[in-house]
Amino acid sequence: MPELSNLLKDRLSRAGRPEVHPDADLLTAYAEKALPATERTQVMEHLSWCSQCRDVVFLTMEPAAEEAAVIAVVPARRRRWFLTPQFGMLAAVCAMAVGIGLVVRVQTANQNASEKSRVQEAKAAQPGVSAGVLGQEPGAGDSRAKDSEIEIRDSKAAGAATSGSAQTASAGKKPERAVSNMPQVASIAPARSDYVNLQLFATASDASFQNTNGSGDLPSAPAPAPAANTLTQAKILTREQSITLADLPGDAGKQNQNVLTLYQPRAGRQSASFADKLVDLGRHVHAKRLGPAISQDAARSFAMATPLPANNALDAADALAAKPSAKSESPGLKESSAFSANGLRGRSNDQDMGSPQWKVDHGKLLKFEDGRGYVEMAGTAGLEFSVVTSSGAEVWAGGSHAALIYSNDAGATWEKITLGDSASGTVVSIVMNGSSVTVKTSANQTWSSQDDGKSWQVK
Amino acid sequence: MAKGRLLAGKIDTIRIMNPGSRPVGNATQIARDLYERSGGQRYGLTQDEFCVVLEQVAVKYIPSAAEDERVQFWHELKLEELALARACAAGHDPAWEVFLTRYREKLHDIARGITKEDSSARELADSIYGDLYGTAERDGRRVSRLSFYMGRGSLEGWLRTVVTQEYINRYRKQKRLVSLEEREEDGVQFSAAAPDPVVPADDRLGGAVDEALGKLSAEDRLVLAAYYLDDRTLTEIGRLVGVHESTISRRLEKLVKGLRKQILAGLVTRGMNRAQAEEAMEADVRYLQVDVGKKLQENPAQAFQQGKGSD
Repeated sequence: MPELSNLLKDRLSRAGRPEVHPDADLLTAYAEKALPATERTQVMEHLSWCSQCRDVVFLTMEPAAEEAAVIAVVPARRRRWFLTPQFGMLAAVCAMAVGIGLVVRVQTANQNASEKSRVQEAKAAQPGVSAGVLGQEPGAGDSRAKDSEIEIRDSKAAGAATSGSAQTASAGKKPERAVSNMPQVASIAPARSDYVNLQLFATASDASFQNTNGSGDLPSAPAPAPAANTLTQAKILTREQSITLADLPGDAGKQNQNVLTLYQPRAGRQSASFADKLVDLGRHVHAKRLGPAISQDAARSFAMATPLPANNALDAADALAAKPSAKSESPGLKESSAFSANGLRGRSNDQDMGSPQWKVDHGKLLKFEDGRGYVEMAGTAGLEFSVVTSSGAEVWAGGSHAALIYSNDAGATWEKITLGDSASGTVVSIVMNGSSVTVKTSANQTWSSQDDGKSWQVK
Repeated sequence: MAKGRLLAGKIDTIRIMNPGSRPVGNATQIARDLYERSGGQRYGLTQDEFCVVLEQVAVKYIPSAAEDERVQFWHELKLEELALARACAAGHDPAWEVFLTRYREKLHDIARGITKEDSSARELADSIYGDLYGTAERDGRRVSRLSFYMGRGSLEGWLRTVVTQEYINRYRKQKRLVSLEEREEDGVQFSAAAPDPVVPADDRLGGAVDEALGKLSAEDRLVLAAYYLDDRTLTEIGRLVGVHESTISRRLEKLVKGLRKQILAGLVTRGMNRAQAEEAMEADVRYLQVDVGKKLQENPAQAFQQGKGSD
């Protein structure tokens, strides 16, 4: 930029001696571009001479401009692009690719250890790898907790086995039953992680899982959240039935298949392992969330080889479930809210695209709608809102005079909630935790409900 | 139109009583519409009180406007925030409850954004909050700073401006209050004196510079001052003026080139030849004799006769 001479600068700074300054209203209106042209010119004239008022306007304007940039209505074209299903799928694919990469790295790191244990087991049972190895695995001193399992088979898991040529030769052979019943999996390239398969099953409709022995229906998993296309409706293999992997033809043992074994936690047991946390995701599983939530430590804990023999995944999950040391190697997952059931339930105002779905602005309850941005909730006019919390379709919003409303259908209908006769103040905090809800007001009252808001107690 | 007198307590009209004045449309309906839009009822503000506020705002900014201009002006105000602020100033509890909900934390955030430091931000915000509530008294009545809000801009923006002005005023006061010991310890006694005004050796150059600057529009002078005097970035200036930063960059280059041409032309007009004019332009005025010139006594801007000082 060209320089101004000192004389020019000097004259520019001393040209005016304004004695009358515009008031705060005018300066604000100028910064917000709310003045008519005549007044705007007058204020600009003053600002061109008065450094003090310029300072005020600039200091006033900077954060306001940033906030406006955040909440301003995005041009429709850009917003639509951002919110299109295509972009969502692209984001999901990218996140899955990140997840695959991390899981591959984790498998690679743990491959040697798991290979060594497998070789030892194989030698103890019979030469080479056979189905018996798999059958013995649950009882082979494995310290896994006795939990039911969900097995997902990749029918195209042609990943070369890393333990030997014989295994490699048979790696491509897959149980036909698995293939016929899992069309979604069949489309997945062998090199991709079963982690990816997991996600596809989570989102595909009518996902079903078949055990290898062709037995009848398996006990279904207790579902954390009912949905038509979630893992929670997957058929679960019991530990005993997993032994039937031995029935697989040839030496398509565990290590020759892409199998990601997940554990259904026992009732009451905290979901601590990576596998448990994946199961707990339920219908909240989204590749984008799972990808970033995997920390480097977690990835190293259950690294799988490339390509991905199934047994590595099984071992990885086993390691996490059975060995406390494995858990400690992956602290990131433990703290990761994406894999924590509590974290998922407690997450509020989070959309897949990163924008909060619900928010309160200037006392109005706003909901983010595709293509329209934030719109005020119909039927909520007249209420002065201060806080909103949501989890899935459940939405709690509170405001002045201890006003509290609840919706379990993402705002389609609302129910007014009465805390109690003595409730007062403005609602400043709402925390959801399953069926438990805690509400705090500005009058230092804490109201809690253990039955989804049907009854309340004050502390 | 002659200056009218304010109607206070009149229920169904918001126009100034001027002989021969003609209400625009149904004044009662207009007043009711404006009151309903403001939502003043839920803040405890009556329609009468709100009409008085509207009159006050119109008298301050457009005292000579016609009726239709006044109605248009009122419709452009931030009516809801104006009602809230004035209801708070009047001491209505429902209004304060809403104000606290919306702006309590925002006030602290604004202060923190300005001071960049938490403890001073809290002190600043608490001080402003006291002014807003009305800790000062005048004629036995509590005076709230919110009664100065006129609804031209948003209430949040107005709060931001008020906090900023208070911060700048405090900063300037602190700069002046330096103890003698501090001055000696910090070496202030060795600090350079404030720069004297720069006076060129040739008065013709000064005249040409003043003439060139005077021909610039207010916006051009503002852009130049913000960039060269305040060291503002192109982005900040662009936001202030409402254009993209690249536009500001191009404008600055064009302005400086244009100023040079104007000054050269001015010097030639004042009797210099081209070579002399260019030499005068290139001379470094820092080493010229300085003198406090009375030509620095420029006429102040006369734009704000109706409002003296800031809030």
